[in-house]
Amino acid sequence: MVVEANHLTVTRLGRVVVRDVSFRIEAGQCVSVIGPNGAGKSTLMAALLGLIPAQGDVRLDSKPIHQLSRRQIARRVAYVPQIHEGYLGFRVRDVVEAGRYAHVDPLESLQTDERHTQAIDSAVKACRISSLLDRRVDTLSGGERQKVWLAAALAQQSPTLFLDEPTTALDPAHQAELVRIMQQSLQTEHTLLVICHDLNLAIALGGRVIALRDGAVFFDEPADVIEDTDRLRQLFDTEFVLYRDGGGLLAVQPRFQRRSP
Amino acid sequence: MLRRPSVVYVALIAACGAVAIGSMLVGTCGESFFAAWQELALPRLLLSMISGAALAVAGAMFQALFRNPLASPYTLGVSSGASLGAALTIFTVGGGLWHGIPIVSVAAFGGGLICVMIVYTVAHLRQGRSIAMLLLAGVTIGFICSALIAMLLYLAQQHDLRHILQWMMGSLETVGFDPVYESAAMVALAMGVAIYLHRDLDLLMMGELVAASRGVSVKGSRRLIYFSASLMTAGVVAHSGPIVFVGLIVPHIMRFVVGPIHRHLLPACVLAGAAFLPLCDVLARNAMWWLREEPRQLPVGVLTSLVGGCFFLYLLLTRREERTLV
Repeated sequence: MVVEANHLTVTRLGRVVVRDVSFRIEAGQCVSVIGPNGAGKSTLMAALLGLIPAQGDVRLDSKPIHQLSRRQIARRVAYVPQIHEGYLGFRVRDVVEAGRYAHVDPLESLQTDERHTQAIDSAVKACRISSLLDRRVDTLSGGERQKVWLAAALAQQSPTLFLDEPTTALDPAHQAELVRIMQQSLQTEHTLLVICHDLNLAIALGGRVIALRDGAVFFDEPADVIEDTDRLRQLFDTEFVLYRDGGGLLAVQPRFQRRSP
Repeated sequence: MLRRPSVVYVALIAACGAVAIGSMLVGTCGESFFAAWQELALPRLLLSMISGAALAVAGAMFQALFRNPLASPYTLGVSSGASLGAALTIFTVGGGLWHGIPIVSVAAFGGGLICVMIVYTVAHLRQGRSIAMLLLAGVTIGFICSALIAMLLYLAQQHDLRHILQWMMGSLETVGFDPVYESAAMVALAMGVAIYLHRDLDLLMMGELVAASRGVSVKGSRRLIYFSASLMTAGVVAHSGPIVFVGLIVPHIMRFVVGPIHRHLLPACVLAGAAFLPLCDVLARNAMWWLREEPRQLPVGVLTSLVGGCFFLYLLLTRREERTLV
């Protein structure tokens, strides 16, 4: 599905948080959004989903977002926010099943239609959480919870996935697992827009990188741009160091001053 | 302690039946209910069942909406507004029908809805902190309504004063079926909306952002939930007065028993509320007779406040996971 933003501007509490942002994401493309804290990444994503008021124009498959109901938007885009407010005793099964909301009538049972059960089963399999289904979400680790929210988004069966910092605060094993799920969803022709706090996630996903600084697009280029440490320094105001092997760029991290013994 | 919903429903239906039979057998202050069962006993039993069910469901809806187990028609100013509307009507025209319209019910619903609108507007003017603001605004409106009711009590004549006071303490004393029909009509309409919105309630409880991204029209659903929960509260308050804590305790316990999914929670609340309030009524109306052989009835609201308050305090002190939700 094609996502377009034209001259998108968001003002919150009198401050311009997103400034005249325009881009177009083609169907099946993967786009990572990077930038310093407070650059407007999460606000941009919320504006693209029509969750906050914004000036300018957002279109999903050429259709202006303000002409779509929330249910119609949810059928086109599944969103995993950065912060989940609470779990209040819900089981994993409840959270994943709730992903089908946009496809189910208010009084219809999920069990009566194979479409729903298949969508839920395949999301559970893709995220490898079948052993967690009867656990309460508040008893899970941070990494397990993130997989549950991702499964709920996949159960939504929308052609586009918006993920806000999906690997932040996760241990290395869960980061790798989340990257696997995202790469797998790209193979199934999902369009992916991912806010990356960690630049290594953008390297792993490849595709294209949109950098935001002070709410405006700083650069919008193929993911190879991450090899350009000068551009990264200008974006983040700090030095970076790259790690490569025979296959190309492996990882990038800020250059820390080594503490003298 | 999650139980299979069907097992819980069977147990609760049995409890409703047992309480209903017990209520008829025990009667009031040593007098059997069978003597005047059509005029007094059955309407009172039905009114208490409808009131209990409605308060429990309204409480469950508000708790989901605010994602807070302390939310209830009372903490949000809805029942204070309904009480003020009803008290004002009793004070000025004495209640009854006006051109065939049950004026106390209408005034209670109007009062509840006006308060909801004020609370909602106050919270809306301060974006970004809407849920905290809604609760604070609700408590503040509750204080203002209480002050106005106190003023009415001060100004009331001796006869009205007793009527308003007894009503304010929460009483299920009723004669005939008219109040039952009125409450049932308001509650049935609102209950239909609650059942229709059961998935919206689940998702709103997971967070507004999650709800919106799954396809819930958050503003529209929130308005409908407000409207129907207020209607349910008004349907009860108009005839029974503000019966405190049922809307807080029953959904709280039922969420613990059947889980937070509203497809299971709402029917459980209906049945548990319909068993709990008649039980409280039997105990309250006979307490003075059993303890001191005095033929006086304790208002049921006094008992629900006492039992509910102590129980809630116990929950807050003992259940770790619930404490973190507050």
